[in-house]
Amino acid sequence: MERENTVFIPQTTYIYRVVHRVMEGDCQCEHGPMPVTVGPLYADVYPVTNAQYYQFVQDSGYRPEDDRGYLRHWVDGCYKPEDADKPVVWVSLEDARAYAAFYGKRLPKDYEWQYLAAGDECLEWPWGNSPDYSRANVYSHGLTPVDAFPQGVSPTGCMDMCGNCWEMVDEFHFDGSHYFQLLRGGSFYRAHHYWHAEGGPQKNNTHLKMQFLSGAMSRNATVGFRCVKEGD
Amino acid sequence: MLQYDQNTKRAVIRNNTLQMTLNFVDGILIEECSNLLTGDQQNPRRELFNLTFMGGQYSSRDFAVGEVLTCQDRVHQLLTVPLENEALGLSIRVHFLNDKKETISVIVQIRDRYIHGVPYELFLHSPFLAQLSMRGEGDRYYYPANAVESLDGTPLLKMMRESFYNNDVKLPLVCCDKGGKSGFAVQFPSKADLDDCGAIQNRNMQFSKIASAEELHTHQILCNPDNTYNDTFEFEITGLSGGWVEAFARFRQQWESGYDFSEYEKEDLKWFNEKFLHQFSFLYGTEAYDAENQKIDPEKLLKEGEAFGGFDTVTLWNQYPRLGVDKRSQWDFYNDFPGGMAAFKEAVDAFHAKGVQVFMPYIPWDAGAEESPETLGDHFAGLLEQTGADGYQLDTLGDIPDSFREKCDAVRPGLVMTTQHHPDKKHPIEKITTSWDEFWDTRPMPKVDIFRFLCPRHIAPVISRWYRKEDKDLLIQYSQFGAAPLVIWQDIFGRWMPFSAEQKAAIKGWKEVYLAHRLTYQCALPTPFYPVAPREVYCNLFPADSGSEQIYSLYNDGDLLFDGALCELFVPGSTAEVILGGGEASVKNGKLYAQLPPKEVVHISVKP
Repeated sequence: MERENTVFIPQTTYIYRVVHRVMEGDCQCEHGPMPVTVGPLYADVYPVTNAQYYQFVQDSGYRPEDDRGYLRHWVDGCYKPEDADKPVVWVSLEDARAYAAFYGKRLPKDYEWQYLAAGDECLEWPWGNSPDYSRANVYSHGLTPVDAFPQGVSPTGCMDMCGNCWEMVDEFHFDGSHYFQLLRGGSFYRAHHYWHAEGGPQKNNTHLKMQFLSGAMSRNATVGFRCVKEGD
Repeated sequence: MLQYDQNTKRAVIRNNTLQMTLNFVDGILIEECSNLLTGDQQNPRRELFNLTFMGGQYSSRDFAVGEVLTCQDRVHQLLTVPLENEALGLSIRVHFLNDKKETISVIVQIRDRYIHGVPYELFLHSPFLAQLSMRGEGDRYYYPANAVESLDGTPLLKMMRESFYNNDVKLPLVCCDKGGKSGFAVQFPSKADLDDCGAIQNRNMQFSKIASAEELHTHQILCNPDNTYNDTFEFEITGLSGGWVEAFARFRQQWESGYDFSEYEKEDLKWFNEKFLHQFSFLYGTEAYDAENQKIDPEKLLKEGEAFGGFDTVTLWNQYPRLGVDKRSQWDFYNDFPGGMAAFKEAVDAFHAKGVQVFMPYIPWDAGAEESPETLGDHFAGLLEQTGADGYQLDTLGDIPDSFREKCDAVRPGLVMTTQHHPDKKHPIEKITTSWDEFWDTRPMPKVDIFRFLCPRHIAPVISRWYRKEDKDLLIQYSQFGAAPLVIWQDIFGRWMPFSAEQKAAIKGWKEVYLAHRLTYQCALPTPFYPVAPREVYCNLFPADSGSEQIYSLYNDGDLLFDGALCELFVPGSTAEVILGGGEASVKNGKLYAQLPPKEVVHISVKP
């Protein structure tokens, strides 16, 4: 797959405000509104794919200490051919951070991810202010290649920010009693019941609190990541 | 006895508690409805009903009285009065059904022939019911939907109703004299489950919703007759000599008569009755999970539980609200939990070593399209087998298919099934022997759960969710006043909401009292809101089945210390001892006297 790998995000300030799905348990972290400065940085246009992650494993020899659930969808240490350009999933925040660090990158913070998706105009969806599910892989039956929906491009030039897979951000919280992560963008999958965590497309200014347990519970079939790199 | 004089068109119906004298000269007139136990006449010259129909108002005098039928069999005596109004297209049959013992049922069946081709609204008001009295001034009323209220008028007897779903717990209207003894109970029998207003047979439901004097006096019940003689409404009237206590006991006896409670008698399930303090463990928090070592930490949890008096059971919770991020099911979550299923087994064993029983949750709403009650039952029974758990908590449910239960029963005896809500249908109540009493409005004290008193064999621990300090104080009082066990839930799906040190100490003390008097609190015939003299004091009564003691659970809702006579003893006693709370108590001349601090629950044990 040939494509532009990164977009440059010049330093900019916007008012960050995020909401979380109000279920039970609340979300014990900062939600704004508050001014934040993003950039300068280079942001990956796409989430990290299976092929890219495979290359990372080959190059780095990375193997998580706790590999329960790690790359569960791979067969014999490699992705299925048809999954090469789909986002890598079944990785933990630790696995994602290892990938990013190996390439001199990191995951975006929650407020950075929101800017990548919403741009200067603080759009509700990457493509505008109205839902348009033809622009993203949502309410479907599986992951799609990360470049399958170019019409879903965000104002900053990032792709696949809504649907397909949830994206982890570079935040890991402990509120004194619980560890939790934040997920962004929603996924192709929506569980059927009211009490299930809500999937499907998520607005740019929302995140999902995912309570953390180690091992296979730290990895999911619908959660991937993208990277950013500090700019000059 | 039923006597009908065709010449005078008067009838007298009598049994052991009631006498009704009726006159059919011009419509139907109740000449009296008297409590025989008093020797006086009550409720003289009452109209049974008025109708509002197609813009007009009508009484039975607007109907032609047909031939009165009387008959009897070995059990009942029946008097039937047909009424006809051709112009309105209405035919009515009024039945007086005497059980020859204690009850006379007045059954009214209205037939509407739709003279304009469509059903019109027909409203019914019963002056007899609206004016029901015992002595007149000073009479005390217990309304079906609001038997007892707080000083500010808030209902205190928590019914088992949600939205338009309903059940068979429908209290009678009770009217008794100011002494709280002689009176009447009027039951409104109904098998209807739904509270909608479209059916014919649900009309009694509307009488069951009367909650105040104003509603009683002004009621207008929308009837939905069609061209058949369905029961439109029914008053099942009984004369009382023991007031509210007798009325509630009669209602409970009548309610129980439809149930088979053999499940509750199973010896292998009775271990649950010996438990008081239950704990809900959210495993994504540090309360019961050691994140560093990635394992459930029974030792830490139970150590912290000592301040509460010790946890007797725990419910391990590892799915919601995580379920749904991907396709993994509740069953996958057990395997993917750190340490897998073996970690749960190890934890259960550790709890067992400390004498603590373990409940595992079942999440019905997570069932996938490929699953059925059969496969879900297989999965869950397998879970119980693999973990060695002692019971199961049915999330969001008040019911479960029998096959599910049978599969779990086959794993091993002694598995206790509990539900998030009270079961509220007949068979679930028979089969589900415990549930959580999860309620949402703590205020005002001293609220009680009717199911706790109606079905005392169904031990239902009280559980809170989002309660803060003040509400948790009330929760503890609610548990004490109703004498119900507790579930301690501090980690609300990721939100830490602890009890204070003082609250923990209060629970610890309450647990000691509860267990010391457990069999009394778990007696078969408790009475909610046992009548007491002071208006600001409320009382629940727990008479031990063995007769060894009677416990009066009291709450002084006033702002000052109460000091004086409370009530006549339910059964004779000679000594009184305060076993919970402050104050003092004594027995003199068959009456209970006490000092009761304000806003505090006090339990007094009276012994023979």
